[in-house]
Amino acid sequence: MIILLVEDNPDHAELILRSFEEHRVANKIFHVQDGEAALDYLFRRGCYSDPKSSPRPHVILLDLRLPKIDGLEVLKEIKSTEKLQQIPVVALTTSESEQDMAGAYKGHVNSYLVKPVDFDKFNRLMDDLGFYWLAWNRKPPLGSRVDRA
Amino acid sequence: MKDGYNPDEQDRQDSRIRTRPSRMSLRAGMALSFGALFAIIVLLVSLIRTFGLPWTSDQGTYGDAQAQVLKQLSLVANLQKELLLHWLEERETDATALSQRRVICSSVPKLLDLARTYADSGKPKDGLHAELVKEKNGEAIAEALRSVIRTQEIYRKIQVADAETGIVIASTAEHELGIGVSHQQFFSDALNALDRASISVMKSPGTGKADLVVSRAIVDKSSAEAGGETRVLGVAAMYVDETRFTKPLLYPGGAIGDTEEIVLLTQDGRIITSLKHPLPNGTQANPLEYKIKTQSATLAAQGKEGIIITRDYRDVPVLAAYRHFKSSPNTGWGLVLKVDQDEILGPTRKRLLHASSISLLGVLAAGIMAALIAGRIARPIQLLSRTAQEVEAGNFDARAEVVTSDEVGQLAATFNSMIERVQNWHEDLEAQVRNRTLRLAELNEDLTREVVERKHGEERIARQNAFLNTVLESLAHPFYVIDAADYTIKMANSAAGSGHIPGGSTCYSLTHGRSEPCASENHPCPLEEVRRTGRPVIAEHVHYDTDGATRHVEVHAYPILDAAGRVVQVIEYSLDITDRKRNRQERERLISELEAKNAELERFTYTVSHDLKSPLITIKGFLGYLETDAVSGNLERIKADSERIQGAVEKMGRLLDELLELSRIGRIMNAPQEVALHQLVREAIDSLAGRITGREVTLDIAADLPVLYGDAARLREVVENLLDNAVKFMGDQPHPHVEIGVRQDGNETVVYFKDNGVGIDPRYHDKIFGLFERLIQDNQGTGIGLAIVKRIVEAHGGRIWVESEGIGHGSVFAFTLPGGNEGKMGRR
Repeated sequence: MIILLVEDNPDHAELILRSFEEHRVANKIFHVQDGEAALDYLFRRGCYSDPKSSPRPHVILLDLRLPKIDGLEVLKEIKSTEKLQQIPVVALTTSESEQDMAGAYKGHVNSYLVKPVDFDKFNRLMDDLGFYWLAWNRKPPLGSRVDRA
Repeated sequence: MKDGYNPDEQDRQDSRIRTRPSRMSLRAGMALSFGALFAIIVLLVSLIRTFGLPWTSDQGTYGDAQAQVLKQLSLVANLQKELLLHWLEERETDATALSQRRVICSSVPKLLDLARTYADSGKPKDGLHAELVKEKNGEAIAEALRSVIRTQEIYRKIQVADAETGIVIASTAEHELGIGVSHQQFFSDALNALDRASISVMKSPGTGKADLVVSRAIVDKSSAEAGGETRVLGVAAMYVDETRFTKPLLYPGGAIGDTEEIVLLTQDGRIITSLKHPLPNGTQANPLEYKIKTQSATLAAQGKEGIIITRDYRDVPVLAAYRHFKSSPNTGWGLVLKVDQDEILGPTRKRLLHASSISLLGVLAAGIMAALIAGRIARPIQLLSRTAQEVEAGNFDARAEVVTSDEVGQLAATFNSMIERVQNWHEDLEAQVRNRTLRLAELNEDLTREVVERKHGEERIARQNAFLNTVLESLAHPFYVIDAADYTIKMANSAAGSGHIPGGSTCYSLTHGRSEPCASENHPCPLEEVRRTGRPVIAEHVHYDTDGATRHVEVHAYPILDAAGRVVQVIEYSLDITDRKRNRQERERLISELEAKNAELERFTYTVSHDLKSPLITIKGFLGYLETDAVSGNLERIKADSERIQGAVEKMGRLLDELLELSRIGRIMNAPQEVALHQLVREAIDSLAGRITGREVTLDIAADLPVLYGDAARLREVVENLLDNAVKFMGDQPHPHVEIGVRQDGNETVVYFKDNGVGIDPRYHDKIFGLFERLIQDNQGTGIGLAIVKRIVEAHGGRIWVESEGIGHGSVFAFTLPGGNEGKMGRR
């Protein structure tokens, strides 16, 4: 089970990773710090050109406020790329702005989650998130293509 | 008019009723023309009757008579020819019968013997005659021959001659015995054709007339029957007088006319029968001597047959039919039957003469009749004419005398009633003239009244015009009336500068200084629009006032139409909307500014909530872990987590400070003052000394830095932030260097901070000045610094931007402030 975590705040990344670790959610989590790196990873560009170091994730956790390339831009790029659009993208952000939410859903985000300030809630969300996407949710067959007709 | 005599009027009437001077009286003219007409008709009718209509099949009586006679001639000629042929055939039969009679066949050889014996004896020839007379056999033959003459009265004589010597051995005329006939034509003819009779003509020695001789060879039958050579014994010749056959055969019997005549000819054109008339030279033509040379005779002799209108041997015009037939196999005869043309056509000619005489008489009679009738008609007309002349002279009381009850009488009566009516009209006319004169006087009065009224009306219009002018003059807006055809100004009020407009000025020359009508998309000609649509138009134009300043005007154009609905003139007035327009632009600018501010505020609050929440999550999260760390006794993690919490708290404090700072910019400003940039740079270096020396950054500061004018404290912030950024983003540069200088871009003075640090991807050049935007993730930057710098520069009316070719190429932050010169920057 592979997760791509796009998170600019190192503290938040640490919190998420630690939580996943405790709940033994994922086998492998790849963490990138900005939008540009996220796209480089997904499109296997630059230092992510080796497919072994950048396997296709089953879920993408995407922060929206990102340096260089904004989270919504990244989302748009993923959903408009045929080989990436099947990968579930979960927005994980501090923003409760309606504008951000509307933008994300318009960009075909698969789920929109707001980071809770409360530690317990934060932990539980991470637990549920992992369980839902990695246990309950049926994943699209990797490498298969869905006709957009 | 009735009483007076107007000579001019008389002349005019004379010229109108101009009569042609007549050369003869009406009577004579009528007589002559009627007579001539009658004569021509009679003549024409008789001519047509006689000669037929030209170009038609009608030949007239003349042609008919001619055709009739020719037809008769043809018929008679045929008949005569048949008769003659038949008669000749009979003669041949006679000759044949004679030559084969027993008595001849038996007696001839004996006579031949006698004659030949005598000839051989050498006695004188005259003795033979006596010998033959005495011979009994001769007497027997003669008797046989005489019996033929008796039965067939036409023969004058018959003789039999020796075939060898040609000596007559037997004859009805005793005195001929012993003479020779071998030189005669008939003799050789008979010997040439043994099996038939021959016919020839010869001149009779006694009468001088022609004899017809029918001859036939006498053949020894016994020798012929025995199959041996045919032995010819003698020749029998039968003579017929010309008169014997011409009289009964060739006499047509006056069926055609008194002048009819038949001429029989030999093949070479000699006449056989004697001619009825003497030749033109008065002599009688001899048969078988005279060769006839007329056309009809020549044709007949040549073997042709037909009818002809020609001249005969007397050179007299005749109608003739000519025929040809064979008298014997080798010879032909011609036959001409003719009649004098005069005899045939004489009666027709006579009739024509009669008709002419009658027509002449007719002319005379018609002339007399016409003269009488014309006299009868002319008299009342003359009377009428005299009356008419009287009336013409003005005597309307004159009346024509009605003499007869015929058409002329009716005319006189009509004339009288006409004069009656003319007289009435005359009187009516005079009455009407009187009435008209009265009416004219009335009209004249009306007209005078109307002139007075019109004068009043004109005064009223002048007053109204003056009123309208006053109204127009009172308007503060320029007002024109413009000709739609050539755009010349026909009228203008004083607001339009009526006193200074030269005559013939056009609207475009006056308000735009143009030499031709306005035509462009943003400056359309309202007049053209009005002319095209016929409707009022409002357009916005840029005009120039007398000082040359730009004035925005709203041009209102209204059409003035003629009766046909065409635009002939245009009323144009303009409203100065320069102020209105400026106000509107100002308002729009304010609104857009306000909108931008609102948007910024929204973005601000949103980012603030997000960026303030982030450290809170960090703090709460790691506080949560601190508990578990404490329980597990993991000191290292306690320390690490505590540091994270510490960092987040510090960041939050910094964030709040800077936000406060940001909110102050543009709101709370210190009084502007002059401050040397050099000084600000030194102060910034002082405050960042630790960082600069720690990173071993070399500085290069230009000496000619300008003096700035503005909020000194804020400008110091700008300098400090830019220097701090330059030092902060040096990356792993081994020789960090920062240059602060000034340069001239066109007419702008630009201050720049140039470093050789990490550089910035051109994609993010705009983004870096945004609030909370960071390119490098660390816990130091809040993402507010450059936003603050931008806001301060913009608050001073300046611009700030970044120049960098990308990562690893260093970057230049440059800003400029408006106004100032000679080493000074910033608007005072």
